Amino acid sequence: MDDLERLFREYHPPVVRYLTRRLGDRDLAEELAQETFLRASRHGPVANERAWLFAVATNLVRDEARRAVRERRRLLRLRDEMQHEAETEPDVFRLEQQVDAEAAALREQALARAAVDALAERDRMALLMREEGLDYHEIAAALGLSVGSVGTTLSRARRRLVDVYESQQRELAAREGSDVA
Amino acid sequence: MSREEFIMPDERLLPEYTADGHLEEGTVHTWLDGAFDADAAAEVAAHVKGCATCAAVVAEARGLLAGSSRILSALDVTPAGVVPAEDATRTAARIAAAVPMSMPQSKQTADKIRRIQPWWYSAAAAAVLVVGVGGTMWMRGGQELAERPVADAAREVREPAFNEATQAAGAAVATNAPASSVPTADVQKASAKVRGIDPNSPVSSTPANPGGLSPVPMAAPMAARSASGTSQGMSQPGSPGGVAASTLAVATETQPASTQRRRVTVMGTVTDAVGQRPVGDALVEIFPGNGTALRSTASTTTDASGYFSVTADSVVANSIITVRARFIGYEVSAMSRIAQADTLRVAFRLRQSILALSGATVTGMPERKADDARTRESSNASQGAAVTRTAGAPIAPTAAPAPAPQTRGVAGGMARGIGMPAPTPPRRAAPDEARPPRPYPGQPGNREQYDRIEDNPFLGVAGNPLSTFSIDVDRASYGNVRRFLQNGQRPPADAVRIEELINYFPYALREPRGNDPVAITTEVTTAPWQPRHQLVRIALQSKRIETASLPPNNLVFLIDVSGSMQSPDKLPLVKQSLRLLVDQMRPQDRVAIVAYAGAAGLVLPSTSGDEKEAIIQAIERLEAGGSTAGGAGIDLAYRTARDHFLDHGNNRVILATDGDFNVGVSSDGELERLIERKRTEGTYLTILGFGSGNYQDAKMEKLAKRGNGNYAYIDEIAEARKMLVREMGATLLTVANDVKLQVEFNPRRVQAYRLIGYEDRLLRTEDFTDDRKDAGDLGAGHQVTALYEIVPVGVQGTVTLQDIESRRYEPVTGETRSSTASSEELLFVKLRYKRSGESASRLMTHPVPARTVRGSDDMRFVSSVAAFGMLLRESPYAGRTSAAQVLEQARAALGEDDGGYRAEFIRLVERFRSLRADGPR
Repeated sequence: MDDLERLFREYHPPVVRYLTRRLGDRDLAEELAQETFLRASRHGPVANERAWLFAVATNLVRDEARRAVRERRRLLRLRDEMQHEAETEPDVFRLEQQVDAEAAALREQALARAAVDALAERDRMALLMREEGLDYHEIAAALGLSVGSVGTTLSRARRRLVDVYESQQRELAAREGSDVA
Repeated sequence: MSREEFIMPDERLLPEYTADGHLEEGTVHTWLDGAFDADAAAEVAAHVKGCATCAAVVAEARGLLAGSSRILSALDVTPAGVVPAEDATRTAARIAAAVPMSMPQSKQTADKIRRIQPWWYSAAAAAVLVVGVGGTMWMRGGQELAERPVADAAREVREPAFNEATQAAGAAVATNAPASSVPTADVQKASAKVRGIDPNSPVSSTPANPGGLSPVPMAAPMAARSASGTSQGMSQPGSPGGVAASTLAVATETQPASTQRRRVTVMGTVTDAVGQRPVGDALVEIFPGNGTALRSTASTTTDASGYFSVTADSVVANSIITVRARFIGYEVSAMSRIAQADTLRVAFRLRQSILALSGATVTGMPERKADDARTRESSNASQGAAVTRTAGAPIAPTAAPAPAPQTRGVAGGMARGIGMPAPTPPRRAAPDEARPPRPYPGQPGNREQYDRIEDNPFLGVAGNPLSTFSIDVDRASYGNVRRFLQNGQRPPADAVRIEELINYFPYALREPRGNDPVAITTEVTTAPWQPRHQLVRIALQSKRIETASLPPNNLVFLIDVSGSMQSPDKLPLVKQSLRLLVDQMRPQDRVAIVAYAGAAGLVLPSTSGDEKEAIIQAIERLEAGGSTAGGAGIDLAYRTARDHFLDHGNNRVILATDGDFNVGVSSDGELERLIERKRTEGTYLTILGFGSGNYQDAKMEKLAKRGNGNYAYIDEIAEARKMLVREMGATLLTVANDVKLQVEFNPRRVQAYRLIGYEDRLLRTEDFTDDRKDAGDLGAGHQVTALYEIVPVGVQGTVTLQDIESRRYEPVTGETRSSTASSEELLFVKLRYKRSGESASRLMTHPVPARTVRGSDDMRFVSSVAAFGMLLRESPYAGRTSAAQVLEQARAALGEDDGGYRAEFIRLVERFRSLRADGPR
């Protein structure tokens, strides 16, 4: 079916990225994306295909929502571990500078994940869809929001995301600072 | 998500203001996101120009936009996109190894900058920080882009995938240098560059060269993300623009060559769906597309162990391929997969070919045998079942009248799946005896299995004055039917159990009085699908017990966590459902959790109901993976239940599974015997079925039946709530065991009758008084409805009855015990049940007068559900029923519809009708 192939080519990457960002688990995201597109193939043509795909993906994610709790715990643990490693094995890992850069990137990732997880589900979905280029009408359709409330939803999501991220970063910096001192 | 529910709003967006006349923050974001039309955008722009407060809000919002984009992009930082957190360290090491030593001195610089400014003002610098990773991520972005068509170059800029590179870099700059708008030509040039079609260079893109990466191009993707993030931002009047075209150009040159085609190896096994034996020499082929292609691109055959591995050399990456397996005597099985990895694994389970048998009926069996089947009733039930189930070895259609004795031997159970023969429903000769099993029209690879159901036939009262059956409180079939219909598929006929559809709905019934745990209510009306027939409804209502006063529960959740449970409608739904139940637990209740996959383990030792937190945590920890050893799990669950046995409590194992007991101690017979033994020791079994595509209806029902339990199919959380919370009393506590019904028809009133549904619950006449014979249990608050369609005396030509040889001796006339009964009554209902813990049954009776009334709402609704069930089953008894008629009738019988169940039913019927309108079948 050519149409599905086209749909897949056009929307698979953003759908997977959307799902991965939401779930923090690439494999699961791929799996849900598979399911999304298989449903699309079963469903046949639809007018607003991008919004439709994201809506289906979102519904699939809702069922996974409970994982978020576990995920957050896991990330906090990871963050703690990384701090621990930084304290105990500096000499081994400071051999190459890029390793340092890696650790920083991973730390950013953990911080970002925690910040994303701190959002309300609907806010998070709206923001992630926006990031994949969906317009306000598409987001409203996929999430069952009114178009007028999308802007408010996005502004709330962005503010909270940045706030949480920054406050965690400050916390971390303060801890590192005191370690150095 | 169905089409009907999915409507794009066409609301126009307008700016909104706060009470003191400033822009709402949401409006600012809407504006920056470019979602306003020109007029509205101009209005906002004008306001911002003249309002310092709002200008500040806009500046902040830009920062938030850029910041949140950048934070989100940090989630993508690995070659594969995102790694699960646990793997992050490992992947980091891997990436580190792949990145050359000549790295920029990024971290210190970045840290310095970060201390001075909020981090999102230094987006570009921060991007440099993750330079090594950014490079690898870029390769992914590049691949996507390279696969896009050449047309629409300018439009490309608006595409989401493009965010990573384009607008991006520009917007990062924009925070420092605001408001220079982008000349269109530049954008086009830039996008052309990005797609690797630099006018100055050949179309083939430059191979990736990680070693040569310079900080600038690698910064691009990160910077891209860090910017205002959305393409519209660039064309937005007054919004920052200014794409750094040179940066982009450099960035493109680091793109790797795209691989449009790849080698895909498909490996897996082919087994027999029923016996699970490997199928050797089966042909396995790969086709491009969704299964319509005629020529395969690769093929192979399975070895003796059913294993195969086949490689297609040139498959379009991420396209759909179809893998097909066939072998003589089996139905062709096909699965579609998306070719996104170079190795795909599939497992085929082939069903015995049914099509080949479509012309081959067993009518050829000797007449004499048929007579036996009729007269000896249940004693030959297993034979009878075997006969109708045909199947077995494939026979050519031309063999239609072939003598069947040989076929009969191999028959029974073949097409029904699970090797266990049915607990021999005493079958009477059905007019359509010889129909072959229905092929299941579902998705390829679907493994759902249903026992064959033959509609009960009309029986003459002269030959069969008594109708005896066990009650059935299960309702799983309704949830299953709903799932199919909502999916746009017609359910397989054998998945439709009419009595379970009827029993799904709550009715207003008389409550039991005095000592009896059950009350019987009856009603007689005209059959809507055959006005000359009557319809008799026999409804039971058991005592309700408030959950607070229930005896203590000793529950052991036995949870299937095998790999097949991974999908969202399985384990996650199981967990959600269990949490609902845990909320209802009281301190005197106990809960334990056993999980089984490859091995079984005690996840939560028996815990008091007031330690909800501990129970919830244990539920949260469950994860799917591995194979399924149902037997070992059940064993452990029963042991746990026994260890905490409550003498006067409700001791119960609650099994949550998709029905796959395919490893380990799992001979069905053995399992059933275990369950039965435990039942006699006082521990019951409830089964909750989850998921689709792998759901083994027949087996689940059988197991629950053995364990004195109920069984429900849970397809959504609302169903779980209905099953576990609203009806917790009913689900968990039985008030009457082994409930059997026997209906005696008055031959002066009734010529023939037909029990609707309960096909696999029929009992022999003598089983009614035999207390050793097991039957269904009634939980607290349960309702059970049975319907009989009756041909009154005097009605001719509506049904054809099996002829009965005239009897040599007339019945002794003194047999009629009640003279009034003979004239006034239509039929007489007898019910036997045992109280919990007793072994002798008690009898209740209820005469039904021969008065037809205009039915109550409940009666009319019940008959519409029955009619719908017959339509779904394509029952030969459906008469003039149509979906339209069912709808009309059900709509008129909505009543109060507490809980909205009836309204949902109407939607399902509408759905069914539109399916029928859409296509054949």
